[in-house]
Amino acid sequence: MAKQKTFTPAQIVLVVVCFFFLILTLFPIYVMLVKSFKSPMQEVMNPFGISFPFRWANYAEAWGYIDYTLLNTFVITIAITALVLVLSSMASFGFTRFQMPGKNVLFLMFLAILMIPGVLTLIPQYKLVALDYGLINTRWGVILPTVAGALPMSIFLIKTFFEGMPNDVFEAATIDGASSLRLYFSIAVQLSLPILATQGLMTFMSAYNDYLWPLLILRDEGVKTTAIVLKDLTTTLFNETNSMSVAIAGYVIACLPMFIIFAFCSKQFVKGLTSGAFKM
Amino acid sequence: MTETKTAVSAASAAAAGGKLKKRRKKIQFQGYLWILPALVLLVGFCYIPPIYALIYSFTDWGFVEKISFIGLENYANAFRDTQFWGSFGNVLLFTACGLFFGNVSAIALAEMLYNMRCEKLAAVLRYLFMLICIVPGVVSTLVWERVIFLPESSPILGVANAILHLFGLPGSQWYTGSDTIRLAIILTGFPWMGGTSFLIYLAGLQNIETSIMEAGRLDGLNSWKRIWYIDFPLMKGQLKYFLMTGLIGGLQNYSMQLILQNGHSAMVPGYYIYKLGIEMVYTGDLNIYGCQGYACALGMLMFAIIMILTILNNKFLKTTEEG
Repeated sequence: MAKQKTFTPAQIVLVVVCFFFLILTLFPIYVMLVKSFKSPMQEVMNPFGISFPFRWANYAEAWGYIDYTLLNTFVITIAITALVLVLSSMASFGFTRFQMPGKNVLFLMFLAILMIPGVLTLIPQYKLVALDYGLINTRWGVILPTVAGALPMSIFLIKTFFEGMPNDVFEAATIDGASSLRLYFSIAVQLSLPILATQGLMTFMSAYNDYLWPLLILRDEGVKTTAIVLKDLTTTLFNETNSMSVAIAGYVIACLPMFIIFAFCSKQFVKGLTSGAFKM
Repeated sequence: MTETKTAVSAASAAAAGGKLKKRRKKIQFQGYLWILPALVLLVGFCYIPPIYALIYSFTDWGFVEKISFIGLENYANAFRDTQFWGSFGNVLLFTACGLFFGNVSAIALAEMLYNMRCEKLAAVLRYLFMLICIVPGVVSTLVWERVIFLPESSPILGVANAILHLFGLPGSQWYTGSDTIRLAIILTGFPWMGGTSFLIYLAGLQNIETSIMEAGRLDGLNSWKRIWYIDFPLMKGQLKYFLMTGLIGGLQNYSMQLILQNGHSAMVPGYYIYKLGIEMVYTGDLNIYGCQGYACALGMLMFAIIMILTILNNKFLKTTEEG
């Protein structure tokens, strides 16, 4: 069929337009990479092009500023991800495998949290966590509220998946004498590994990107996360040296973890980012 | 073991004998145990704050020794607060622009990729457009602030001003100018295509049955007409999803303001509440009396406004679907 020809003028225009927008879209990444290698002199002379020689020292300096924050960020992010996965899969298991009074009400109560906007809860939650529980400047002060906030959506998605699992498998295992702990680990978790991976990835990403809550809770220099220190660093370095390169090298370092995840599990990534929409 | 039939539907459970019912009740309680850890966290961190917010919104909680109830005073003040309603106007502007530009460009990109005949190229492009996701939100904002929209007064040239100079125009102050900051915030993220929302529209397009597309082609629809008469109506579900989430998220959003630390001409309610309730506590700005209680009242107002807009939006989208 003539319609299926690949190289019609219209198709070429389409590809050109697409590439034009691609360049615009990826421009921030390009400009970040280019600037991270510049010396202060090169930054003034040639602000947007690639300039030689590369100043690798920017990265060494940036690393010196943020190395401890990366550890903080990873500890917090991994703890959040692990807790969200364990708690939401456990709760989903409880909701789907057992009959008990009030479980539907309980589930609706969980979902109701999704309707409460963050602008309403910010101040009282801060008071609760920082003052009442005394978790200011501790990692738990970031981990526990973030996990709690992520649970309703996560339970909603995982529970939906659990409901689709064949009942026969569980019955057969029970007849063979498996305990419910065994049913959870060997069947429920095993069968739902793909959705757990997707959910874990999403949780990891949003926890890694989180800025506001760590900013409020982690006030001491030693416990701060990367995003907060990068923001502070940008202002101080710019005021001191009139140069952005070292801070931008720090930005690139902060992008690397997500880049690695993206490179290795882009399929899960796409699934996770689009799964919420299809559940509506 | 009959206990395993716990998952049978409620209807058949009612029909089953009383003996079975009794046995089931024996093990039911284990289910609560599985939910308990999640419940404890939710009670501890998610249910208390909104209750606090409601109670404190009727008090003069702030920098006073003793908190006392002041009735509806906070709410009365809120309705007179011109700064708050001004910030509300700003957030409506930002949300409307964000919804419009964001969805138009995401749909445009999805259509471009859908209409590309070379499938391998389309797959590579799809991947590359997503790549921008690796940049954390804070970093992305900082790049826009410190590289692209650098003000004219900065010793380093910013990208946006370089483009203006190219056309012989004078540079702008962007985020630092009180009359340009709103425009700069709206333009941030241009061309708003990268990320993942286009993927959802693309999936929507790919779900349209080929027989419908084929029928359109036989009726002589060109691509533009097809997009208007077939694609748009059949992507309504996706559009609805983005309008809902975009509206709810957009009205609360203040990430730009938080990072730019600008709360003057680009003030939005979220940032106003944040400043009243939290930042002032740190900066020790003790001039405002009972400001945390007041911030809670503003939060309640925002909650009500978001609720009403969501319901209206939902109703409107439903009627257009039926019509």
